[in-house]
Amino acid sequence: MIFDIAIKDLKVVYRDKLALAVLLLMPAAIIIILGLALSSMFSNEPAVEKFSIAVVDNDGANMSRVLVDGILKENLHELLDVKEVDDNEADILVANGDAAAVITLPEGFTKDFENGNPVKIKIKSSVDNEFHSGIVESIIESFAESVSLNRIGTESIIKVLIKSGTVDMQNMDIKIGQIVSSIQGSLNRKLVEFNEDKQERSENLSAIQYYSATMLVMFMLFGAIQGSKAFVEEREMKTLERIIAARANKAQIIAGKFLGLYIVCILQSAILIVFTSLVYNVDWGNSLPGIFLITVCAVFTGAAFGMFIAAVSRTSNAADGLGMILVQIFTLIGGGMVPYYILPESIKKLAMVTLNWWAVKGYHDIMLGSGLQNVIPYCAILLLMGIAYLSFGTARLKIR
Amino acid sequence: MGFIDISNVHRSFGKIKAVDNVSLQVEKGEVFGLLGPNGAGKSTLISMIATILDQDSGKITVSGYDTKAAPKQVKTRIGLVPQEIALYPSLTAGENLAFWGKMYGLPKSKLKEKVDMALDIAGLKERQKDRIETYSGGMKRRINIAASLLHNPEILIMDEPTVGIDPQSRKHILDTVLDLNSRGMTIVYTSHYMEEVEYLCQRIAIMDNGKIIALGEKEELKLMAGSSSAVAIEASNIDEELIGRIKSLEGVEDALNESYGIKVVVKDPDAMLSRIIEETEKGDSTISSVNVEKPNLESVFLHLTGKALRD
Repeated sequence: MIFDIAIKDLKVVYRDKLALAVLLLMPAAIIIILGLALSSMFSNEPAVEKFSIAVVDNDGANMSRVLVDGILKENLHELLDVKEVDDNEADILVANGDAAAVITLPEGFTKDFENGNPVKIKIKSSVDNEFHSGIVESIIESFAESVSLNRIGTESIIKVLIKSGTVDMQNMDIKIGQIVSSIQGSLNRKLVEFNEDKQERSENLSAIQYYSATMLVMFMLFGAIQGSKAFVEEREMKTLERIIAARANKAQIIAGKFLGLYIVCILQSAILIVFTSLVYNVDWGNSLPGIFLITVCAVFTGAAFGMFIAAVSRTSNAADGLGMILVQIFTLIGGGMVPYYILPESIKKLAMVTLNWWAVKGYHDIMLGSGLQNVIPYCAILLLMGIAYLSFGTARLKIR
Repeated sequence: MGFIDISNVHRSFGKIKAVDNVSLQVEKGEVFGLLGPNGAGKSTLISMIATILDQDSGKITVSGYDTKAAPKQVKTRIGLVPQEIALYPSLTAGENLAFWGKMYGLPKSKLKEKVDMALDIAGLKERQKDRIETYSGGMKRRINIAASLLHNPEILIMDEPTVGIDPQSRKHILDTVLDLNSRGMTIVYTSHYMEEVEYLCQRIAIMDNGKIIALGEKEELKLMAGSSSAVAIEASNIDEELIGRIKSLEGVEDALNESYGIKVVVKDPDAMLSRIIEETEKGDSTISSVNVEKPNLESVFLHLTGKALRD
């Protein structure tokens, strides 16, 4: 009986050409549109346009010049337009919106660094330009971390070398000079390698890969909402009541409807994965079991979410409206529209309550080379969410 | 004890008493009519008989089985025709009937035979491969009935089965009811169309506000209304002043403003007819037809409740 209800639902969905178009053609179209339109955000070129900052160097010594000339002006010349000014000019630039932020390096900046004392770098940002000033803060933090890491590492190694007698105290100055430059060079290389590695992971995910995963999840949820709407419509049409009058009980009806919805969403997801892979050349990674597992779990939670919406909706229009709104909010905060790594931390935390977040993370990790093992925690979270949705839905769903 | 036995049944929705202390029996092999206006409680009573809904108190048995204690046994004996077209519009008639056959637990080996039988009863075998959404309202109603006959029920409960259909389909449905009854099927027929109930049913219960206000053979019920007849005058420009003037005529029991004109309840229509016409024509009204209706279930309802059945 459960299978008969599920098979009937599959037939009804297959006959609804408009619903099929929404579930299959629309995501295919949106993936390619977003993939092409937002590809610059995912390329090696800076996704952020060049912007101006002001620097007030009250130190003027070795370390402050390394930061200003070596890093801000040279390494980041594609991103930053650096204006060296005094305090008064800096305030005017920020007030007029001509500079996103002012970095003030205090007197004794280099000395503090060399002596291992805490250094104070003042960053004054424009209230209208939080995004750019956030980038400046990150740059300064990274600089401070890398410099202190170099210093601590070098000192520790020299101490060990002196203790072990490897370094002759008489020729220490010369040798330490060589060792320091060698260690720092090595640490810098390491640091650069680490950064490059991190950078590589995000750069390797193309826009079309990114949006294939996010749109797959969003349209799978739209599919689930169609299912919840159909459930409430059946309640309105009295077909559910008629099934009860025939032979089935409430549990069998819910199981049948859930199974039908699950199969529809699995088929939809599978078709979209195969289609984007073959037609758009989307690389879904090397772990077929991983993709299978994350899909099975995401669809379980999606179908359960559909039952939850059916349970809290009095009419089919309400199910449709509420479902669509929630799916779009979930997609927005879950990084479905803009890349999640540029979303504010508070939104990222909020996004963790959405199934989109975990499902998309799972797909992206597999695309970036992770295997089955890596997505198991995501799947566990998705299954827990699904069980919660389904339990609530089953308890609250009304047949008449 | 009747084939269907209902005793002291109550059912409320919040503060609304949908079924209020109803007791009645339906005998095996009869066509039993349940008549009443919309909202009288007919559908609630039917839902309780069909085990879709539990009563708050009282007892219902079908063929000796308690609907609450043994719903499965009751379900196998009942075919329910809901008031709504409870079918899947995008599936064909054949697919719909096959699905409902499976829901009634028919084995695969018998499914096709039963679907063919149901299509024969509906008179729509040649259109079995067409989707329900392409059918007329009457044809949908016929498939709606056929879907309830797949498991050969002993009792067929029909809830307003002829709402919104063409005369041809209505006739087909009424003939089907009589044919099924002639083969021994017990039928509970609910409607607010008194002429259908009068045509089909041997015994009738009239419901209003959740209560049975009259129960018995249809001829017995008609006697309750006395020998009064109704004079139906199709006329324009009927107003409350005219209704009042006609009501005040000696020999007139009641006068009602209807959509077509005016209905006047009188003891002796022959004696009163000319005076009613004369009074009607005194104002701006123009009479287009006059019809004298003998006592029927409509007048019984009017007599018992003071309001028309379709109010």
